Amino acid sequence: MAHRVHALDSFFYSSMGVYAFQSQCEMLAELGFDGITVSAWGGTPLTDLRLLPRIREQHGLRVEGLYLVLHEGRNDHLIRRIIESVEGVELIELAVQTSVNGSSAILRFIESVLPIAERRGLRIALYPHLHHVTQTTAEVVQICEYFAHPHLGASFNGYHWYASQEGELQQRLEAMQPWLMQVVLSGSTLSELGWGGVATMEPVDRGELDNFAVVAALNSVGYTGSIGVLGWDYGGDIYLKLQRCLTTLRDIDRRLECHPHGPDFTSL
Amino acid sequence: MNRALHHMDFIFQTAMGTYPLAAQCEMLVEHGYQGLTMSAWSQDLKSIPQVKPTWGLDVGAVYLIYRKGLEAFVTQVFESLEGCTTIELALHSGEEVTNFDRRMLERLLPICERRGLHINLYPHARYGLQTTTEAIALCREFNHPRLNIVFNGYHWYATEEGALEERLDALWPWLQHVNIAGTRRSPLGWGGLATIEPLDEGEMDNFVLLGALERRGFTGRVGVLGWQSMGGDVYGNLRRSAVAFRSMEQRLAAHPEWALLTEMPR
Repeated sequence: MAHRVHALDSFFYSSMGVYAFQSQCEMLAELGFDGITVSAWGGTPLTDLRLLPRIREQHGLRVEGLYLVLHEGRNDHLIRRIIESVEGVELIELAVQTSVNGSSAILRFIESVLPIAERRGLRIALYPHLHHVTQTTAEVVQICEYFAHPHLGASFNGYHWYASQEGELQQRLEAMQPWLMQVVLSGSTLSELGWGGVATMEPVDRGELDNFAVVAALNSVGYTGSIGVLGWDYGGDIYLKLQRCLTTLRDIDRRLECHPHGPDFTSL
Repeated sequence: MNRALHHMDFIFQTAMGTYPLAAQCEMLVEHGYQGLTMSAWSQDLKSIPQVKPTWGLDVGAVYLIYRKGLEAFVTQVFESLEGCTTIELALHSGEEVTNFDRRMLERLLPICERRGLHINLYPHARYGLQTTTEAIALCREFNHPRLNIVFNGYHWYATEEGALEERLDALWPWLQHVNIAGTRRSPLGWGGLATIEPLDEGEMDNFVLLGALERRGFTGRVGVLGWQSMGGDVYGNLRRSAVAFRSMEQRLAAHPEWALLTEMPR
């Protein structure tokens, strides 16, 4: 099936600066993207979140998610306040980067925002992130299972799955399947020169990680949502990089429609 | 298409050998380039006057490096050059700009006056004259109408000089031409600093750089850097850079405001 494709707004950050949000949306719309996710980081977004409710109408783009980064014990109130107030987005992607008081405090924080999510019709997808407290899909699945709450799920990030060398893609995705709310992909190669000294981030047509196989695996667990392109670290002429990513993902979808079972890999 | 796009001939000097001049020019023409910068070590300097009549390309400049001991060679290039009036001059007589460089310029500028030549200083990472700041200081010191600057986006990025808008404002009185490359910081790149890649690659955003030049009214030619380290099929790399450049050019005409970035908070 053809997935919707969105870009993370971090695509528009480089060593040269940050594109205006208006330019971000215009570029994505012109290129034919379906949506964008906006980052509010640890509570200090570079984009005015009050603009989100009008993005669909103004640019024809879905706001596929709002990315938040919890530093437990440090910015809990900021994150909670955003979840309590944000409009124009239905999915919160939550990474847990650091913690002062440990895992029980993280769980208490999640517990405290679930009623807000429920009341406001939001979903919260935990976002595994290399070098963060919750880095692997297994760790976030465990939290999802613990709460078993319809408003709590997980985001699959192909880059962080690959970079953390969690492996066993099919099994990992099957374990995530009941909770899977969002997907983000990136090209990547294990390399000390890459992000965090672990793996490069590249357009989805580059790197050792085979995104064709990843999308095939996502299809096999019935994922029909949007696929995000990560865009961080590699910048350059953003427009052309976005175009490459979109072309690649559309082509992968097209090939998987012709060959729905994807690659039938044999082990090396 | 409106801006003249050139390519430096370094791209044709690969680990496999150097493409003959005819092949260089035919490839450039096929991809819609308007000219080339020829390196002073090229075997084809004497053929420069034939390039325009044969292929319709301009040889916009000759790229020349001055190092101690090369005084006679450098002088000879200035004395004998035909078919091209601009020399992009990199200075590398020491760890910083030295009096050897100053003496060389004192010797070259009268030749320029006599022969109708122009020098564009070429700031180059890891050379004596590395930054736009140093090039501007030298231009101020000499205050000579035939001594100006070529801004190289790659070297600006590789030296981490930063403050693009301020640097371009400071350069403006002397800015003649611009060279660009796709580039990312990497110990595997040139000089252990940054890669040299086709324009559709790298971390540096050339769209933003070209936008900053456009806002200042820059109408000169743009040259693409290219270097043997980018490797692979030269023809394909030339095409990628040309396609990316024309795409950026077209976008800048349609959406100049896209190139106005805010600084990343630190």
